[in-house]
Parts: sequence; structure tokens; C-alpha cells
Amino acid sequence: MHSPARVVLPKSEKNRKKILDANPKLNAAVTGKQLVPVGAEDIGVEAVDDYTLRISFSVPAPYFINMMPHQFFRALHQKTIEKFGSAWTDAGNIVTSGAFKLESWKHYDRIVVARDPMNWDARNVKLDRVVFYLLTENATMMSLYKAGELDATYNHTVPSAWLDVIGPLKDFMDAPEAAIDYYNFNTSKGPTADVRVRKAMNMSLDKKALANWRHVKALTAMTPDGIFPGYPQPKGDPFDPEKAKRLLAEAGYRDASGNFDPKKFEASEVELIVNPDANNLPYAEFIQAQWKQNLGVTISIRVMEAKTLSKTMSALEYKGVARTGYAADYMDPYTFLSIFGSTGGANNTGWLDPKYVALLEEANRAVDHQKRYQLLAQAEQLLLDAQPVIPLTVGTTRSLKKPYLKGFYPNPAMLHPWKYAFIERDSSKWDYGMPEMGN
Amino acid sequence: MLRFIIRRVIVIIPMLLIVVSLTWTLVRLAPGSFYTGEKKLAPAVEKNLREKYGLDKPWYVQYGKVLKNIARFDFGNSLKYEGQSVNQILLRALPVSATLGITAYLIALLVGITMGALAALKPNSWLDYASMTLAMLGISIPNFVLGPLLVLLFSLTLFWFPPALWNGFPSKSLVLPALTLSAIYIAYIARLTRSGMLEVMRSDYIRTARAKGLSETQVVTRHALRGGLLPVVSFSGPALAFLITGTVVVERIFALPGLGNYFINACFNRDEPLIIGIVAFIAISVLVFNLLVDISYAFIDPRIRY
Amino acid sequence: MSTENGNLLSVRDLCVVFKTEDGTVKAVDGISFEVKRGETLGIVGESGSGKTVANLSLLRLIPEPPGKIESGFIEFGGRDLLKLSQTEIRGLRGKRIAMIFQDPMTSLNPFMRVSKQLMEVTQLHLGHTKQQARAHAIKMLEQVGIPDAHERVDSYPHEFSGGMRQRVMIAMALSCQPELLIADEPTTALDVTIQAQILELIKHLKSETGASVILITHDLGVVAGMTDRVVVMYAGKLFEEAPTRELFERTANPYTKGLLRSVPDPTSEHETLYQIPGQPPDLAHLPPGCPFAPRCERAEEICRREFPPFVELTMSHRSLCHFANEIYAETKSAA
Repeated sequence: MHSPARVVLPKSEKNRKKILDANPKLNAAVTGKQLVPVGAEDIGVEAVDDYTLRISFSVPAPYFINMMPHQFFRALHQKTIEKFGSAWTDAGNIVTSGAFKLESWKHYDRIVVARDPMNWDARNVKLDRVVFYLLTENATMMSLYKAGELDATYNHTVPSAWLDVIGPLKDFMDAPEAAIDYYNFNTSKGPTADVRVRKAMNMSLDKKALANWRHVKALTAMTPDGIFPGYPQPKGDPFDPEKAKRLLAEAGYRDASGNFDPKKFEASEVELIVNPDANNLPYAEFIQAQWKQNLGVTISIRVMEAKTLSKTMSALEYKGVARTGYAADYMDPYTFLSIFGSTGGANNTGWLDPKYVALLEEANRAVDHQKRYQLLAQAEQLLLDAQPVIPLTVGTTRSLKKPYLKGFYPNPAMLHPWKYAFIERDSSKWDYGMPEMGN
Repeated sequence: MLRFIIRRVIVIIPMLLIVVSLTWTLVRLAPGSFYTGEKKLAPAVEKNLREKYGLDKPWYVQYGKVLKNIARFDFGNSLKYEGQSVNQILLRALPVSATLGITAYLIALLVGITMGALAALKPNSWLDYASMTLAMLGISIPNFVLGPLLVLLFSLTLFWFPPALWNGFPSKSLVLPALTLSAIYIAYIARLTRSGMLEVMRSDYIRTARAKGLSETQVVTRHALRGGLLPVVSFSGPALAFLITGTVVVERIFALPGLGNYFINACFNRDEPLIIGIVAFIAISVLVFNLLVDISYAFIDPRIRY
Repeated sequence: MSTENGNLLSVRDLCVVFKTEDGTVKAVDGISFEVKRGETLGIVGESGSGKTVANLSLLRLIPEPPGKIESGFIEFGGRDLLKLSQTEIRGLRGKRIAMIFQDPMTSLNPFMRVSKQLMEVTQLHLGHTKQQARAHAIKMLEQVGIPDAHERVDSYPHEFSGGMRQRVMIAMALSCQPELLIADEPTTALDVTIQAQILELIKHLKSETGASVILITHDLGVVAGMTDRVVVMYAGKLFEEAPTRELFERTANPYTKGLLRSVPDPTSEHETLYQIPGQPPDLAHLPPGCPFAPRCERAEEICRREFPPFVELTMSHRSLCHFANEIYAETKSAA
């Protein structure tokens, strides 16, 4: 992660070379390009005075303000990075501006941060120290929480299978999250190149049943609902197995009397590929059963280790359907919709519609907020009509918090302002159930 | 003896070469690379990164570099942990795995030999059956089942030991992972000790020892244990090598920052220098520990001379 | 200390059983014999005749289970060994009764220096300090004829030859000057030339220390020059007992006769050695009459039907056979 300041290179050839050698990513970005001397103002980032940063845009980016909490925009100490090179993030080297400073960082073990007495608001920071344990197994985290070794857990830490037990506990923090689970269709080949097949496969899934079973929210659109106030989110197709069968019959999978015939469907040309992490496999089995039950078609599941799946997906080498998910980088519908604005990146469907791209661009040019949302919603509707994906579920926070930990709330972006968190000794003020925001 | 050691050390070289070459080939054959991910890198960026790490060179150049690195025991920098050399990571993770592994093996030796020896002294008694049933359980219960069971009992019900985390040595949090890890070794050692002891207890020199008037305890401790434990000694070499170089499952269940944890994640990340570094280190450990066992044989059994 | 008649050891009606898969077998079935002070007694029989079990039973060294001393008395120095506590019997082993075993290759602990194995006995029984025990060990090794004993005392058993190892065993057995030395086939595993040396050594040491000796062997040739009296065992039973000379000249038992015929005779012209026909009996399925009857040249109908009586031919000569008197008479006329 590099902050914008670091994109500006020194004028002197020698110093520039030093920095480029130390930073391969930057080196990559400038190789083969003509370097012209630029001042900070030339790239639109400019320190007006000691306390003001001005960023200018060449294209409209109304969502930009929502990107500011992202780690891309943290202020960094330039001299530290120049001095330590890639070791600048090590404890002892790193210079930060937050309420806490890094004390130690041990991989697969823990990160310890301590209150920084030099912080401008240090007097109002209540915790002396926060220890983040870097745990890979959620079951281990649950044990630690139960044994009293942890005061809180991060999002997604309660395993689905445990929700029946943990869900009713007063420690359980569940709120919608700006993260979605969905399946990609390979629109470039096979039966799923036909939009009718894609729509049918989406329509024949009872997502509510899936959501109820796994204690999550069903997703019909490409953006999670309830996260972006005022956004006129379009709805995708509802659960309708009869219509699904009609669409498949139209697509040519029909018997003599014109009805859908599952035997005609080229089931061997469609697979569902998932990586075995988290809840992906139970989801896939549920969905496989739905297709079997509602269409009479058996789609086989192939389990693929994450990197292999990534590679297969981006090369569009998969047959039919592949599992993926996306977490918002910033709080704006555009973070999800922009996935399909180009063919690189996370768009592994092969679908790209210039009309869709144009709509997104038009939306971002719109000055009026409501107008922009409407244009984005139009784009989302277009996406849903083309159905290059099966939206499945919206993530929920699913975290745990001890009643005595205050100033700590479920958070759709998983960003917790630690400076406000504190331990309440007075048990009468403890939280029983989800805390009211603003306390 | 010295000639034997030199010969064996020389044998390590081709073995290491085979292991590393196989690993390197497998990493290459695995789909995806370190730069594959959900969010794709710009092609120019990936190209330049590949240049920086020499991944754009023909395979024989890269392979040659790997061999050169191993010869110097310097595996280069990890791809994942920017700015950290593989050797730094090994140095940081090894003490964790080694502490856990050695603790577990000491427990296994103590409990396993006691169980096996008791079983062998009274074959077909209830003590024998109890020991061997326990040993059977130890072998058949996988540690990803045993670990959580121990946690459930000792952490979440009795609150005696923490259920996870690394707090150095000695610490209460070492107890459950060490026990989990030792279970299967207790079982193996108990069975090896039992059969080894039974064999020795039938031998003529034990009859001689009894005919001298030694008590049963003296017979066992002075005369029988040494020969009876030879199978345990040969088992210990590879067992210890594997134990101290990290155990993926236990380190993950108990969230310990050991080599096993680094290794499994290095594989998922396709962090080639780290994978090769850890594999080479494990291979050397196994070969060295086997050599140590062979050398220790010469001290235990005076009939063996190299 | 001594019992009546100057007997050092007296065994009465000793029965030892073993549990096997075929049921319980009597490996030793009611045998009785004595060893007088200073006497050498030979116990002779084919393998499986129970001679080793009988002698291990004297020190209660048979593995229990599956073995068990079922009944009898073993009187040694005025006490019944079968009634002693574990600690008491251990106090006797190696001190007053010592044993030498058949295979010196395996009877010494291969992992332990000879010095330590020798010292162990005197430290245990004579309360020797390390220095005393070591000096004693060297002295014992010298006594049994090991050259450079003070250097070789720290060797491991595998560094000695077979004959030398048996000398070490003898040194170990005699370390505490036992009153009774039980030598179980001490020369069977050795070369013929070494055999004679070892037998000579035992004989020599016996005459020096005055110990009684029980020499167990399958080879009657060995007992001839070594023993005062001989006990012949077959199928766990005592078949004949006689002074050595008398046994060789006037045996009253067909089994002993067979054994005598199978002793190689250096003066004989015969090329092939005599062998008693048939196999030693299966102890789990003994015939109803005389256990030797199926292999016996003289067996008659009565032998297969009735168990033979123990016939007392003289004060010191007894034989288990229906025809003991007849054979005794025949051998007399032959002599």
C-alpha cells in the first residue's frame, strides 16, 4: 500500500534511481515512460499549508470522499520510508499518526499497539494497549473468547455451523456488512453463454432458504441492501422455478411437446467450482441440491484451492459457474458496480457491455447525488438483466464482544475507531445485546 | 567413525538436491503464482515484479539460482513478507516449533516408555491391556480431533490451561498443544518399547541377570531398558526432525507462529523462496537427525562400529 | 547348615507345569534327587526332557506365567527354597547357587562392559565397593585363565571369543564362591577343543573351591569324566539314577542304554552313530503306559498299558522300567 505522496519522485536522477530501486512497484509503473519533472500540484495532490491537503480531479469521482478512510490515504512519514526501505513497516521503524503506535508485530501470532502519548488527542484515548491476535482458525478464536482470553473478535469469526448456539447470546454482534457472496458465470462459452440459461439458473435458487439456513441475508442485486441510504436499489429476479424451466425450454432444452427436458440440458458442460475455505462448500452443496430439486439437473461441484481457482477464473477456463465474493473498498455502490466496468480485475465473467460502462461514467459525472444514485441503479438493473453473476448473500458482521467492552460497534466496513473503545468496570453500564450507537 | 560421518554428510547433498528439485518443480507445476489473486495486478506491474525477482528468466537460470542459494544456505527474500529474508523467518519460527516439538517429544518419551515398559513387564495383565488400548487410541485419534477435545475439557470446562496462543517456554499455554502433539508419539513409543522390552526380557542375558540375584527393577533398568529402547532410538531421529520443524495442524489449531504455519501459508501464497527454504531446512533436519541416530547407536550398542 | 546324609541340596517330588495352547503340560513330573557337598551330579537327557526346567526351578527362574512350580520341596541348606520370599531367593541367586548357561554368546549382556557385569554380582552380594569389586573381577578373570585380565576386563562381550566368553560366565558364577554351581550345557555351543578346556576348567575350579556342581547335558560322553553320579531324565520324569561308573557299566534302563550307544566311541570302527529311533514325546499327549515305550526296543504289552515302577536295584541305583531287574541282571552277566 502506497500513499499518494510516495508517487512523487525527486528531481535528481540519483535520488530517483535510489527510490525506484527500492520500490519495484513504483519502478514498474514508470518503466518505459518518459519522466517529466512534476511538482505535487501537477498530479493534483498538493499540501496547501501544514494542515490542508488539496486533491484535484480530472474526472468526477463523487465517491472519493468515502474512500478517505481506506488505508491508501493514511499520512506517512516520508523520511522513514526512505530510510528503511521495505522494512519501514517493522515495529520500531514505522511512524504513524493514529492514537496508537505499533509496539510489536509477530506473524501468525500477534500485533501489539500501545497508546501514543504524542497523539494530539492522547488524553481522550482510553485503552493503554490493544493486542490483535492473528488467528487463522475461527474455532480457535471461539475457544479463546469463551476462555476469556479475548474481549472481542473481528467480523466473520463466528462459524456458520455455530450460529444456532452463539446467535442468541448477548455477546453476538450481527449487522449487515458491505460484503457480498456471488457466483460468476462464464459468459464466453458453453450453455452459460446464453442469458436465458443464466437467468434460469439464478431463478431456480431459493436464496431465502439458503439465507435462513446460514443466518445471513439473501442477495438479489449486485449491491448489498440497507448499507447505502437513499440508493434506489433494483431488485433482481425472484425465485421462480416455473419461469426458469420455461426459459430453459426456450433456450432449446425441450422435448417434443415443447416442455423443458432436464435430460437435454448439457449438465456435463457446467460445473460449479469453489475454493474449500469458510462456508463455500456447504453453500455450494445447498445450491447444487436446489438445481437438482427445481430443475432436475445435476451440476457437479469441483473444489479448487484458492489460487488455482483465481487463475482458472481470470483465464475464463472454468465451465459454467465459479464462486467468488467482494468486500467494499469504500462506502458507495460504485465499489461493487465498478467490478464490471472493465474486463480485468475482479470481472471474471467475460461480460462487458459498453452501455453499462457509459452509464457508470455518466453517473459519476452527475453532480446531483440523487441523480447519480439513479444512474447507478439503472446500470445495476442492466447488469442484473444480463445476469453475468448469481448474487447469493450479503455478509453479516458475526462478531463477538464482551459486555464490558464499550465504544465498540458492529461496523459494515470493518473499520473500528479504537481510540473510543474502553473497558467499563461498572457492570450496571454493560451492554446486554447490541449496543446503541452513539453511547 | 569420522569417515562414516563424512560419508553420510556427503550423501546428504544428492538427497537435498532431489528434494529441492522436486519441490521446485511442484511449485512450478501448481496453477497460479504469487501474483494471482482476487484483485489483479496491472500487467506492467506484474512484469516488473517478475523481473525484480528474476521470475522472467528461463527456467534453468532460475533453477541454477535456487541451487546457488541452497549452497550458500541463503534462500533470498520472501515474496509475501516484503523485506524479510527466508532465513530471518526460519530463525523466528524455528524456536517456536522446536520448543513445542521437543516438549511434546519429552512428554512422549517419559509417558510412552513408562507405559510400554509396564506393559512389557506384565504382559497380558490389565496394565498391559490398558496401556495398549490407550496407545491404540493415541494412534487412531487424529490430532485435529484430540486438540479440540483437550481444549473443551481443560480450557472451556475446567479452565486450567489457555486454549491457544504462544507465550514462550515455559508457559501454561504450551501444555495443551504439547499434549496433543505428543499423543501419537506416546502411542508409538509405548508400542515400540513394549515389543522391544518383551523381546529383550526373553533373551538369555536377562535370565543371567536374574540368576545373579538382581531384583526385577534392577534387571529392567540396568539390563533390559538399553536393548529394549533401541527401536525407540531409531524412531526418534525422524520423529524429532518432523516435530521440531513444525506441525501444521497443531500450530493452526493452537495459533502458534511456528514453521508449520508459515509453510502451509507459503504454499497457499506460492511464496516460492519461502517454500523452498522451509523444505530444504526440513530435509536437512531429517537427514541430520537420522545421522545423529546412527551415531548414537554406536554409543548405545558397543557391537556397532563404523 | 548341612542336612542329614551330608546332602547340600535335596529335591523331592518336584512338579513343574507349563500352560500351552494344547493345555497344561507337566514339564517336570515328580522328580527327586540329591546333591551331596562337594559332589558333581550329572543330569542327562534329550532336549525337552525337562532337565533345564528342573534346574531353573531350583532358583525359581522359570518364567511365571506360563510356567508354575506345582508341588514338591527343594531343600537347600536346611530350607525349602519354594517357601522363600522373593527377596530371600534373590539373596541365594548368584551367591550360594550360581548358574552357567548354554550359550555364552547370548548369555552376557552385549551392551555392558564385562567389568560391570562381573562387579555387579559382588557389589550386590558381598557388599564390595567399586574398587574392591573391580579388583575381584580381575582376579576372577585371571583365575578362569583370561590373559591380560586387567586390560580386558573393560571389554565388551563381543570382543571375546566364544570360549573366552564362557570363561567370563564361569568367573561371574564363581565370584561369590557359591556352594552349588549349576552348569546347563556349558559346552554345547563351543568347538570341540574348547569344550574340553572348559570342562577341565570347571573340574579344576570345583576342586579348588569345593563347590558342588550340577552338570546338565544331553551328552553322556561329557558326564563320564566329570561327575560322581548321574540322573537320567525323559519326558519330565527321572528314568534312572546311579553312580557314574555303575551307570556306564551296568545300566538298568533301556533309555539310558540307548543314550550310551549314541556316545561316539573313538575306538569303534562304526562309521555312523547310533540314534534312538523316533522323536522325544509330545508332553501334551503322553501315551498311557511308559512314555518311552513307543521308542523302546524291549517294550512289551505291559509297557504300553501300565506306568512302570521305580525299581531300587541297589542303595544308590534306581531305574524306572518294568524290566529293570532283568536288564540289570543281563548287564551284570555281560560285564
